[in-house]
Amino acid sequence: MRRLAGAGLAVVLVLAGCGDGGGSADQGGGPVALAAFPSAPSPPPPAASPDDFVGASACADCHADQYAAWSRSTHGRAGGAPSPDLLRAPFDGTPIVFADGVVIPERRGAETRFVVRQNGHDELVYTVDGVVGGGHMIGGGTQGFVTRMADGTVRFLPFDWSVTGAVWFCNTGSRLDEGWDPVTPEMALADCGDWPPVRPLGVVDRFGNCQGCHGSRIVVDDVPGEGYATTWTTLAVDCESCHGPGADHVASADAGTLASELGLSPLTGLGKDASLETCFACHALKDVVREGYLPGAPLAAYYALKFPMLGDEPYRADLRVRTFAYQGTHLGSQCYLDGPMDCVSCHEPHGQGYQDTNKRPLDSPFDDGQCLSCHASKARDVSAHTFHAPESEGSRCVSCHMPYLQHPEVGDGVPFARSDHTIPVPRPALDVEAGGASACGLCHADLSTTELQAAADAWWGELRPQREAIRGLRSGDAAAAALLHPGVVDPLAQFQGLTRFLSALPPDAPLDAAARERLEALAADPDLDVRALALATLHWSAGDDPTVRRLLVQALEADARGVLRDRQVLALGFLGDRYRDAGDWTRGLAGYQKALQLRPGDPALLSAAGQLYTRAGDLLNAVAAHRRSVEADGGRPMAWVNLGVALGASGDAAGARAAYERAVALNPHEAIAWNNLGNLALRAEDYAGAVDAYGRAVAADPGLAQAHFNLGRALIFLERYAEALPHARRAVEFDPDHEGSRQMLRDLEGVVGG
Amino acid sequence: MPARTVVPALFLLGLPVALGAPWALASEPPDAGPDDALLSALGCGGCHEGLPAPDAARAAAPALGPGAPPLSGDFVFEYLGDPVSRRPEVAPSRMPDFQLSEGERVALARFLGEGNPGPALSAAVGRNPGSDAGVGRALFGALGCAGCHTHADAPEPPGTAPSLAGAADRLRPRWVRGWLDEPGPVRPAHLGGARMPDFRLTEAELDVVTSALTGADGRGGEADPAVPGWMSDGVPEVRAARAERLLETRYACRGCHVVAGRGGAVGPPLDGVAERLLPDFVARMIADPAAARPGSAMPRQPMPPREAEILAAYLLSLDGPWRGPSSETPGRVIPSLGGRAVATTSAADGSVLYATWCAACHGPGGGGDGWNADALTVPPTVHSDPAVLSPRPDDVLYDGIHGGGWVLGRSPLMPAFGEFLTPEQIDALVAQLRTLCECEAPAWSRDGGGG
Repeated sequence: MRRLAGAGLAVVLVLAGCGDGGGSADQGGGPVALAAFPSAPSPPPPAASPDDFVGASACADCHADQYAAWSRSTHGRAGGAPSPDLLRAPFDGTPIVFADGVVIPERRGAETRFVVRQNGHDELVYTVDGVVGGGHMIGGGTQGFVTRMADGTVRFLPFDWSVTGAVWFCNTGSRLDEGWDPVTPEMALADCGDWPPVRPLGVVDRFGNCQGCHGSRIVVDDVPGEGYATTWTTLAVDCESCHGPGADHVASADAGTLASELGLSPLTGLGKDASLETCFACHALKDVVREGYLPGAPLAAYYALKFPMLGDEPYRADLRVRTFAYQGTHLGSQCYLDGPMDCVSCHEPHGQGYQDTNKRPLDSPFDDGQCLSCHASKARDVSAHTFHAPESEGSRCVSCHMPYLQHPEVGDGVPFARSDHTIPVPRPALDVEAGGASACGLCHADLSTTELQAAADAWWGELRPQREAIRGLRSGDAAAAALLHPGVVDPLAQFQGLTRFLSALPPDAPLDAAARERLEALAADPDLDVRALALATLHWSAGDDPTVRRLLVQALEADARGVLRDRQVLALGFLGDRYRDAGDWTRGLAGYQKALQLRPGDPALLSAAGQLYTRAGDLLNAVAAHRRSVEADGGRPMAWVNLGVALGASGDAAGARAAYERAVALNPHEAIAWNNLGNLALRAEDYAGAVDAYGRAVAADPGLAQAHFNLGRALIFLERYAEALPHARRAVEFDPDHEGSRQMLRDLEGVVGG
Repeated sequence: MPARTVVPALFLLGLPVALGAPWALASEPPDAGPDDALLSALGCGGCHEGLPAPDAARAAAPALGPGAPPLSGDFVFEYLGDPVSRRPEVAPSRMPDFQLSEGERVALARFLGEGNPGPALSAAVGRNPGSDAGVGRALFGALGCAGCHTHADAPEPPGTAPSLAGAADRLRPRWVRGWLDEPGPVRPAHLGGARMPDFRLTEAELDVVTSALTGADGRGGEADPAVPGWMSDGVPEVRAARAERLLETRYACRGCHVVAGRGGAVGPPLDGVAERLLPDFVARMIADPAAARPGSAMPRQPMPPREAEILAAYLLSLDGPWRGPSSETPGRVIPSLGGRAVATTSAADGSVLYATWCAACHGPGGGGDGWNADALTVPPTVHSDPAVLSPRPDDVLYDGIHGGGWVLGRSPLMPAFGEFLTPEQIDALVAQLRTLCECEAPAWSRDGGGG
């Protein structure tokens, strides 16, 4: 989960005597009482539990046509157990050759596995417990593999197969940061970000991941005393992923009462936003605002789709994908903004074929019928619009308006192009200037951008003007007039403008009247995310102004579901994190403080603030904040770890040990807790105890370089040099810039021999 | 209406009626069945297509106007108010009761009568000063008087009466019988004054006419032809909810029809429609109006078969009894949308097309004030406002007419005409919109549709 920051303000607030979330402001004549924020509404009860889902086979008898179509679809074949039918990658024993070893993908009887033979280490075998992806996508299909780990998580293996490129590749994102690279003999295993496996399947906040969409009802539960329990219905995307839980529906069918109790919400006739919500549960970037989403629940209560733009830039100023994204950019398309277009306008939902807006089947994603059922005017004289021969590729609607563009973050090594769902007007010069490819240039690679633009000018003359909010974003101007656009319907661009404005807005800088007026207007925007970020911005910059406070309070009073508050907390907590990580303790604290005004006593906010205090050296407040955090929720191992860190830094080794032990009692596979316990043992010259603790740390997280280094040190103290050597190698492998590890490795190789 | 008995044969306006066989006209061709004879005698075919020619009625109905025996205005005025009691010696008259208002009677009397008005008409003229001979002439045409009567100065019949060809495939016999007995408007009242008159049919005549139209006499129970998803005792509420959602978000039905108490008045109300229409006809009409009822004014709304089934089942479940629209539409002249009117709009004349297909909602001058506008939950676009239309490219206007308001992200109450009008007709309508707004498309869009 990204950004559920928290604040330790609690302590400051208590010391300041204003812990009620209210406050006062001096407005000339003396303090003016600020309106108190209303209490948060009770969280809605979960819409469903995993037991409410019945699986696709329960649908087959009554909905045979839909079931048959789904079975053949990309959703129906999106993943599953590793069977010969599903595997597209060659598990034929042909080695994948790295610079420091080989990996053998092979089938042994019913078992599918990777055998890793890395120089200087014992052989490792990873059983493939699940296949993710069927390599179906036209712009580049891939297939990944997961394995069940000792802590109960199921994690992605670093070896992916590009069906389109017919090559093994790995994601170098967290190491080389070169995107997806085909494996070559020059590449080390540790160049792969997922080596050793770290990304779990399913939402596990400990690992900051979100892979809940590569299957159906992937649920990762905390199991106190054990770690995690990962379950799923299927690694395909099944009926209930869209339709929601079916148990009531089946029961109603069995009882013959479907006429009055359908038992699920029909998807027929949804308006565009409700329809998009069904698909955006997976096909969009999103931030978690509440954990525990299951299909059928209101998406906005669990996810905020535009918040990934806060602190990141997944989209360009023209709203096209800048890094890596899904189809959420559709919200930036004119077809959505000015028309009725949702996903099923083109995509047939059961078989993932194609259709027009009247649901007439179409042959392929390149069929003009997708567009012409709305844009009938363009069908009268195709060439008058396209200036290409009617039957040529240049006259296909998608050739120019939905070109397949490689996702930039992937790099160029592995085919992964996805059609541009912003459905833009091609503007060769502007498209290239914005950092992307021009649709024209994809076909006419022999022409320069200047030549392409000249042709566009000659054919079409003046093009449709870009929208106001996009023009503002493109201008690079940081002024409110360029970034804040109330009154338009352009939520993706409006939100991006807000993020830029907020990023440049310190909390103690006065907000000018024009900006404030625009923010107040945006605080009434129809879009929930836009509204929330505008309110958070006002809270951040002028929350103690009585007028602004009243606006904030009124907004929360109308927020019966708490979804607006959740988002404001997310934004303010993000600001706390951002300034904390920049070492600006005052502003970081301000972010957490304002978030805590909306959600007093929130354990995650308190924990985040405790970390700020620790890093600021204010250990008294750090310990106090962490204690309040674990008192509010004592079931989070990392909260105990953070308390232990603060206590340890305070000199309370016993308290720190107790906190770490609470952490490993909750999760015996919590590597950082074991590492820190090892540190305590090492300081106490209990080398055997340290070896044991560090050993558990590296077993739980073989990629934790620091734990390998520490284990090496402890073993050296015990003169167990040969045992220390592989850990020195691992420490250097995963943190090659750590001079201590490198020195240790040199020394051990000198003693033991390379 | 109480049942009537057949009375001895008498002559009114030259129409013979025989006891026991009132439709047995000596002039009928020998191969014409008795049903056709009655229909011919009643003159049904004078207004409705698809029925026997009204030869008998025409032969019996006196000629009117120049060259015909003169009638006094007072006589016409009083006769039209009560044909039966005014001429008891020829009762029951085949002259139907048009349930005319006093003003309409005045207008017709001034058009048809000669000489100075008598005291009755004079007094009525004083109360209805606008009912002049010109109005009477228009009414003569709209009411279909020329279906039976000749008149040298009569206007062409407007063709507002629906075709009854294939009525047996769409109308419920029970409803037809009841409606013949007590006629009322099916579509919006007063399409220029047109209305179905009351022929004061006897029970025996109702048997004959209902059978002639529908193949059954309408007295007994009727089987319900199967329609997917529909049951004669209603539709599951979950399906009703689904259909309502389609109506709210996607389809234009309520732009023209009242559905569950809400909607426009361009077409017949649909509440209780299962009483009036055969279920499978409702389904066929939704799927393809032109095929179900050639010449229909209803444009086909493209939709997948499954959604057409959902809508048909829902419409058929709407509670009755079916009731026609209000018989009064004060101050409005509602243009005709049916029958022969469809044929007249095959040409690409933008102003005619606009008056026929757009003006009901958007107003004759594009002011958004058509007679149907008040019935809509979303105000129709004001086409005469350049601020509204000048930002919209011509292609967008074309697309909206072709695909309906929905494709523009606007109200789905605006129907799709793309399968009803030709591209040339839609182009003509776009040009008409530009005439109404006195504005041009944005400059960037005038060069081949750049974007």
